[in-house]
Parts: sequence; C-alpha cells; structure tokens
Amino acid sequence: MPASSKKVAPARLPLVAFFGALSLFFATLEYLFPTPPWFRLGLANLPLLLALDFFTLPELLLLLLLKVVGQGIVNGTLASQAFLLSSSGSLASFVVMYAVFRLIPKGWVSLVGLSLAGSMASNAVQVGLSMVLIFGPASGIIAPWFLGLGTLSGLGIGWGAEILKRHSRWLRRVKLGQSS
Amino acid sequence: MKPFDIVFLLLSLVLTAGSAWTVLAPTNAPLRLEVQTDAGLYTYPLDSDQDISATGPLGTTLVHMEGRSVHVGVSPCANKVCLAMGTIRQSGQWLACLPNHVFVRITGGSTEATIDAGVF
Repeated sequence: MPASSKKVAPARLPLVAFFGALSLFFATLEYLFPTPPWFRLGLANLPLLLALDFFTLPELLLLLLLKVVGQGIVNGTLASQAFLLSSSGSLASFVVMYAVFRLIPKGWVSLVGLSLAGSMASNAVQVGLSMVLIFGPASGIIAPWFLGLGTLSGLGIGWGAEILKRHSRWLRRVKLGQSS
Repeated sequence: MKPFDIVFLLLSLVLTAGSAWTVLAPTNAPLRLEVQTDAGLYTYPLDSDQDISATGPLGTTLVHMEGRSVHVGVSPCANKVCLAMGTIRQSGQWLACLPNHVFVRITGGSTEATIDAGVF
C-alpha cells in the first residue's frame, strides 16, 4: 500500500471514483429501509470502511468528498444546513475511523469497532452542532435516539463490511492492485 | 469480535444510556410542549388545544395541538421531514424542522393530577 504518497495517482482515480459511485449507490439503497425520517442508516460509509485498508490518505479524502457531495445531491440537501450537519458528521466519523485504524493494531480491532467508533463520532458531532448552531440546548433530547440507533446501524454496517472483507474475492484483487 | 470492538460497543451503549438518563429522566414538572424557534423558547400546557405559529427563516411552521397530541400541520420547508415525523404524545418525543429552525418537544413527567370534583 503506497501509504506515504501525498497525491492521488492518476492510475488510481478510476478505483476511487468507483468506490465513490458505490457510496452513492448505497446512499440511494437506504431508501429501501424503513427508518425514522430524520435518521440515516449510513450505508454509504460501507465503501469508505472497506477502502481504509488499501487507499492512501489523499485517496480516502477524495472518496470522502465524493461521498459527502454525492449524498447531498441524492438527498437534495446540498447547500442546506442538513448538508452542513451531514458533512460535519461524515468528516468526524472519517477522522475517528482513520485514527483508530492507524493507531490500534489490526488484531485488536475489526471493521465492526471502526464502524461503531465512526458512528459514535458522527452522531455526537451532529447532535452537538444542532444544539450549538441550529436549535439550541433543547435539542439535546435527540441525543439518545441518534446515539442508540447509530450504535445499531454502526454494528450492522461494520458487521456487513467485515463479511465482505473476508469473503469478497474482488476486494482481495483490488487490495493486491489487480482490480478487474 | 475483537477487544476494541467490544470497547467501542460498550462506549456507545454507555453514551446512549448516559444521554438518555440526562435528557429523558422524568421530572415532577407537568407535561408541557416546548417550541424552540430563532425568536426564543415558548412553552404550552400539553392539554391545551391550539395551533401554534412558529416563525423561522423560511416562514411559518404550524404546530397543531389537539387531545394531548402534537404534530406539524404546515411547513414552508422543501423536504417536509417534520410532517413525516408524525404525531408525538409522550414526554421525550420531539419534532424538528431543520431548515426553518423549529424544534418541538414534550417535556415533564407528571400528569399533574387535577381534582374534577370535591365531595364533603
């Protein structure tokens, strides 16, 4: 893995774009699942979780940008405060997942733990911003709902990502730099 | 599951339970409706039937109270998520219109027993 590179190599751009498209696909797929209207499952994080293992930091940041902007377009929230909350949550989630991935040895944490940590960060930041910037302290009442449902979705997405990581031959080829 | 998976799961559960304990703990205050807008916080007894006009940057969000239940009747926002949130009836439940900065919640825990009649 070219972890030290500071730019996105042109040859890797199609792969990053493909993972970005996967994020958009999962963001759209979310509409199939009945959830409270204010809650997003976070399925679009699944490609990001999987990519942690073989993308460099600049590639991951580009993927994050594609995911955030793409979700804003799919949900129709681009240029709104919902987009501010969502993108802040995504950024916080990414920072935490990346830090955990880099700092904790692989034998000690799986994608389940990474997903749970990211979900916690995302929801905590979104609740905090809504309290500070938008609705005021009264909106703290949403915290248990966001954190509780976020725990469930984080667990499910991490578990799904872990299964894909273990069993997908395509992912294994991508990791080895033999993307088909 | 690996050791830090369990650590993060426990941390998530503790945060959820802690926040629930902090914001959802029953109080002796009577059940009431709080409507937070950019202009301030307005409080109404839950057993009153009325339409509340909550003004935000997009216009007026109409909050309808009837029979101790509350829902958003009309909203100027585009996505109408606040309408889709349905009706709330119990302490701890909430409605929100993010684009119009309107947040509605039911707080308090006491049913404030009232005396219908006195017999001597």
